[in-house]
Amino acid sequence: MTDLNEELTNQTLFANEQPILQPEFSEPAAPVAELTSEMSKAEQQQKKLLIVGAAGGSIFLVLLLLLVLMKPKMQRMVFTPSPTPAASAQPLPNQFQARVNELNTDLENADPIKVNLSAPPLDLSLSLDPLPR
Amino acid sequence: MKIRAALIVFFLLMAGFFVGQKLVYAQVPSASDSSSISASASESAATQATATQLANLQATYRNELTIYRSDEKTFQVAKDQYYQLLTLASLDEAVKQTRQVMLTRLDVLQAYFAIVRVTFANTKGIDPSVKTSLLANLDALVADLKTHQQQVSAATDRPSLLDVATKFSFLSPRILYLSDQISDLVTYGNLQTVFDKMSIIKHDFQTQFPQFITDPLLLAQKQRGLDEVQRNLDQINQPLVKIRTILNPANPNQNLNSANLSTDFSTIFGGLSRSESYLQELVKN
Repeated sequence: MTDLNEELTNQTLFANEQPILQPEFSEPAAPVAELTSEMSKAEQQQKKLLIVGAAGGSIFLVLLLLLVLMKPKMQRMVFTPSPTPAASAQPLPNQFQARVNELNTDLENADPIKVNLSAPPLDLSLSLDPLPR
Repeated sequence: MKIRAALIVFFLLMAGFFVGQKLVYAQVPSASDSSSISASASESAATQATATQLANLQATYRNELTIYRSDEKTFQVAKDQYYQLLTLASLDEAVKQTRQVMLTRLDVLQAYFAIVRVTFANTKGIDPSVKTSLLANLDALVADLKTHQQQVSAATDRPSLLDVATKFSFLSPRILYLSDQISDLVTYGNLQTVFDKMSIIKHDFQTQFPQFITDPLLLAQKQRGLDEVQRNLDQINQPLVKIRTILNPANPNQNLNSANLSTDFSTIFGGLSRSESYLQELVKN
């Protein structure tokens, strides 16, 4: 009983009393040559990927830089429709039709009868007494 | 496999980048397009502002003219009553009404010249030096009218009213001269602008219509029509040049010919109307 108690309370006892000569459980060891060849293949692939990625990235960055430098003042417009339909978008005969119509409006406004800037109908000589001649 | 996949992804990214750049460039309008759009927008905004300003000035002018007509009637009644009664009370009333109608007349004239100034300043087709010179004359006249208004305000008796009436008689020829001169120039400027636009349209049509007409018979017909328009324009140009010379303030004989201008204006307007209808026909067919 005392031994059992001692065994329960003393946590170091189990470790100390491990059987030394009993073989431990372990995975079957892989052949050394196979392992080293697989590792070297993976490392090589990783290295290649790194080189290609670095080269591609640097080319991409250089091209991006060149494009940015080539167009320093380029304005990026984001699909904004033009406020008025551009004249150049119309077919040529329609453009002339529009211009002649506009001319017709201008001609109507230029009618000499319509331009009425004549002096107002005022009595410019009104006076209580006759003006001296 | 992984290298291939990485390369494909990389090239896809690059292709996407270039396509994106091209799309962006395609959306960027050329400098001339954007400037023409902004110029036309600013021009239409300015025209709208001028139209609003003119509408306000015309409303003021109409109001002042209505008040003047009423005051003029009251003045005539008071004047007639004074000359019939010859009393001090009727004289006081006549002096009061004379002063009032003189002040209202000046309000009408100032409202009128405000309209004239805005209209003239915004009329195209006039030589800028002529415009500047006449605008300076107009401003000087308006300043004199304001000075005269102060003199009328200060005149409270019969002799002082006779004095300001005499002074006004020296202003009235300038008023009539500038009013006629500017009115004629505005008419001329409008007609000249239509003439210039018509010449440009005719020229552009002549150079571009062979691109969209393939029928040789139709081409010849268009050419004959354009020749007729050109003949009309040549005929219109002569009276235009004549009027331009007459209305130049530097011309010493301008007053001698100004009476005949209405006939020339009618001739020009008739010729322009005819040419415009020809152009309408040419463009439609």
